[in-house]
Order: sequence, then structure tokens, then C-alpha cells
Amino acid sequence: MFSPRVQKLIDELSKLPGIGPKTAQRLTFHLLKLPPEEALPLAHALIEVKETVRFCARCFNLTESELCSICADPTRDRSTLCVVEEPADIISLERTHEYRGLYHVLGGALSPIDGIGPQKLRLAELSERVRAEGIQEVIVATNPNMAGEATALYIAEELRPLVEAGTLRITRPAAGLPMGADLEYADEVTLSRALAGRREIR
Amino acid sequence: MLVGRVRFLNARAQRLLEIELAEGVNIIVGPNGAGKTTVLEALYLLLTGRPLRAANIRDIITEGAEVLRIEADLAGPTGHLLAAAAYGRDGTRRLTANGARLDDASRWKESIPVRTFVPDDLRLIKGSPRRRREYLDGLASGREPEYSMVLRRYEEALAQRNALLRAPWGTGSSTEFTPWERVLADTGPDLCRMRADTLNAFVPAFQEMYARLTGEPGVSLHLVYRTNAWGLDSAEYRDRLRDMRAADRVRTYTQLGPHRDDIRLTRAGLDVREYASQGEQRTILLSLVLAEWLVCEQAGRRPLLLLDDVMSELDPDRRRRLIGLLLEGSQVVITTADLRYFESFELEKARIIRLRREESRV
Ligand SMILES: [Zn+2]
Repeated sequence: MFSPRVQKLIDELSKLPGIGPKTAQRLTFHLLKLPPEEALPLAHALIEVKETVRFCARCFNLTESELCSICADPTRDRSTLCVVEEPADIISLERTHEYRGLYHVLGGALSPIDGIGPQKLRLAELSERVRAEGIQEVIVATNPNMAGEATALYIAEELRPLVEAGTLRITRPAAGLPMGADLEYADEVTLSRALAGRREIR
Repeated sequence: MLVGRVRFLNARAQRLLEIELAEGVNIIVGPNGAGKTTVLEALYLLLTGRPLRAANIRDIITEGAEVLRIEADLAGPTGHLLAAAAYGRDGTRRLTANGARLDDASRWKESIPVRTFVPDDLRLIKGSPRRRREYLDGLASGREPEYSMVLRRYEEALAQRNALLRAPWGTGSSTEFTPWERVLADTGPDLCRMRADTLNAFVPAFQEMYARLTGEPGVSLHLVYRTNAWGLDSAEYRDRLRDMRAADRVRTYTQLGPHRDDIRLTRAGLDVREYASQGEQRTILLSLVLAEWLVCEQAGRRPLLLLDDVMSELDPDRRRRLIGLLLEGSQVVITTADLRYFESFELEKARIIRLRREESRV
């Protein structure tokens, strides 16, 4: 067997998504072979990111301060909120330079099979924000797969009273994103077109 | 596509076997224990990714061997393809097309649909409804281009709703259920309609096949579609799901829907399972398989038909009728212990592949 320290590294690596015990072992031996000046920057980067990066207190984007750069930007349109699954989706949408509103990161999509119910996502926070910040339009840009669609319907259902009161629009980017694709991998032109052609949910 | 050369290693008693299949009828002949059925098992496993009969894949691997390998040359209008699979005793599997890795066997299922008849296997008639639903799915997806996509959506939403019914965190609130129930109500009625249409269109082919095989009229035979969701439109279906939430949570599964469909096989209105002899059930099953195969053939999909030791089951008259049918197909593999079941003019039209018991120890 391996020494306890080596085994510990293998165990830690194999906890990462998509990494099985065999890959974890290969990575560990690779790291062991590296000279310190090549292996240690990884450890330092990990420590730094965990010590400095956190979730934005308002939208749950990644940030190194209390609020992320988008929430802190006074020129953004504060009446529109774009709901996404992950922080990476914000980067894709920002690349289009089309969208000028704020964001809200859910941290995933509804999927009971994977044990993800409404309380595992930042859905209560979303409802609260929409009401407290006087949002006029919510664009639900969850992924165009079944879990993303279901999450969009859930949000529409939750906010329905505001829509019926005439104070809120809930929209979804137009079809055109390939079904089952992740927003993260969509190109800018497709995304801009989908955003421009967004439609009311139901 | 057609299957040409087939080669396999470590399948049951066969350490190594290589055969060359031809277009049309192929007859594999040999004494018992020569591995005739093993050839069908290996081909079926390679092309569908599933074991033939109830066997576990592990049971097919030669005792003492670690890996079962199966390869086949597939010839189509666009050239040759080498389909290969390796199954390990430890449960690992590796499928490749010309050496490039594949996730599953669906590519082969699309290019060569496989239909089989194994006389001892009456599960389609006697087994659980799941078998008959799979049979119906096979028929419907060949007929309705969007069927497979609708079925996949239905099954995904159903799995999500069932998980929600069982979730310890589930509150039973309406907003939790509606997203999944909407998908079920969108796809469920479509599935029922496509399944019923498919079956209605198929019954005449089945009756005709029975008549061609037996020389007796088949009009009294019927396939009756059974579903608990008949006649509901999307809105009614949604209301029903909503009304059943509480009861479904107690049972921890969704009761309404085509995932619980079944087919009843009847003759003169009576259930074949109860009112037909074992031999008659086999004949009916063979007619079902042949009818589905011929429908697939007529749709230009060029299926591969595998028949295990079917000749010993039939009287001489039905044998002649069966071979006549098989000669219409693009590719058939039939096993037999005795070539005397065939007429010489039939043998002339077929490729004969002889297996000897000694070959299993090469
Ligand atoms: Zn923010």
C-alpha cells in the first residue's frame, strides 16, 4: 500500500467530480514526479482561491469582495434580472455585450433524481430579491434541457402573483439554443439572438 | 448493412471461432455442444449490447477466461465497418467502431436491427409487461420517426416525478410537481396514441404471417392495447396526475401512464396465455417475430434475423413455408442439428456453416 500521506492525496483527488480512483492515482504520481516549483503553484492557487474568492452577497456570482463587479457597477440596469444555473453562464452572457441588467445564480437546476429540490437552489433568495428590488423583468436563462426547463417553469409558478398583478414579466431566451446543450458552450451569436428573441413563459 | 466475417474469443466453450456469413439464409449446423447457439448469442450481444435469453453477460464468458471479445465486419453501401466489443468478467465493457470508442451499442441497433426467436424463450408472451412494452417500442419507433424522442422525454420526466414522490425533502407542494407533470401530460397522450396506431397497423401483418406460416386463417388472432391513460387529452392528463399526487406519494410511484401499458394476445377473444397449448404459443410467438421482422424489412431497414433451432419445432409443411419466408429476407442465421430438415433446393440457396465439437478446443 501507499504511505498515508500519498493515500490521502489520492483520496482527496478522487472526491473531485469526474475523477475516479484510477485517475486520482495517476494524477498523484504525476504530481509526485514534478519538481516543487511546478507542483506547489497548484497548492498555492487552491489556498488563495479558497481564502479570497466567495459568492456575491446579492447574486451569488463569484467575487473577491462583498459584491461582485456586476452588482457593484452603477451603470447596470437594475430593473432586469437574468437567472442562470452557474457562474460560468454569466461569463458566456457577458461575452455577448448585449445584456446590461443584473444576474442571479441558482447554483444548479431542479433534479429530484439527483436529490436537488428547490431548497438546494437559491430560489427563495430569488423570490425575495425580485420583490425587494422591484425587478420588472426576470429572464430565466437556465440550460435548455429538461431540468433547466422544469426550473424555469418552477420560477414562473412561484412569481406568478407578480405577473398577474402586472408588475413583472418573466421571459425565456428564444429556442435556437440546441436542446440539451449547456449555455456555457453556446457561441456569442447564438446567445445574442436567443436573448433578443426572448418570449414570455407560457 | 450486412454482417460478413464474425470472430469471437472466449464465448462459452468456444475459445476462438471465425465464420463468414453471406447475404440471405445462413445455416449453422453441428451436433449438440458444438456452439451453434453461442454464435447467435455472440452476434446478439455485439449488435444490441444485451445478452440473448436471460443470461448474464458474465455467464457467456468462457470459464477461466477474463475477457470475451466479439468482432464483426459490417458491409454497407458506404463501405466496411469493424464492430468490436470486449466484455470483462469484472463488468467492464469496451465497444468500438473501426477502433474508435463508442458509448453504447445504439449505433449498431440503428444500422442493423436484430430480431430473434429462441423456442424456449416465451417471455414475450408469458413474461412481465415490460417485455411487451419493449416489443411495442421497437415497432413504434420503426413506424413513427419522433417516437423515440417522445419516449425519452416521457421517461426522464417520469423518473423525476417518481424521485420527487420518494424525496424525503419533498413537501408535496404543487409547484414542485407541475414542471414534471407538464412534460408527462405533453408526452403521455402522444405515446398512447402512437402505440395504439402502431398496433392497429401491425395486427393485419401479424395475422397474415400466422396464416403464411401455418396455412390456417389468422384473423381470429388479435393484439389488444391496454393502457390506463386512454382517451385523456393533455389537460385532463394533467388534472389526473395532480389529483393522484397524494395516493402516488403513498405508493411512491406514478400510477397513471403508458409506462404501465401492456398488450393482450388473444385468439377468438380468449387470452393466448391461458387458452393456447405450449406448442401453439411458440407458433404464435414465431409469427409475431417474423411479422415484425418483415415490417422492418419492408421499411428498407435490412434487419438481421436470428433463429435458434426452429426447424425441429415444426412439421415438414410449416418448415417449407418458413424457409420460403426466410428467402425473402436480407440476412438470416438459423441453427440446426440436422440438415435433413431442409430440401436440397433450399440448401443450394443458403450458406452452410459446419461447426464440429473439436473446433471448440482450437
Ligand atoms: Zn453580484
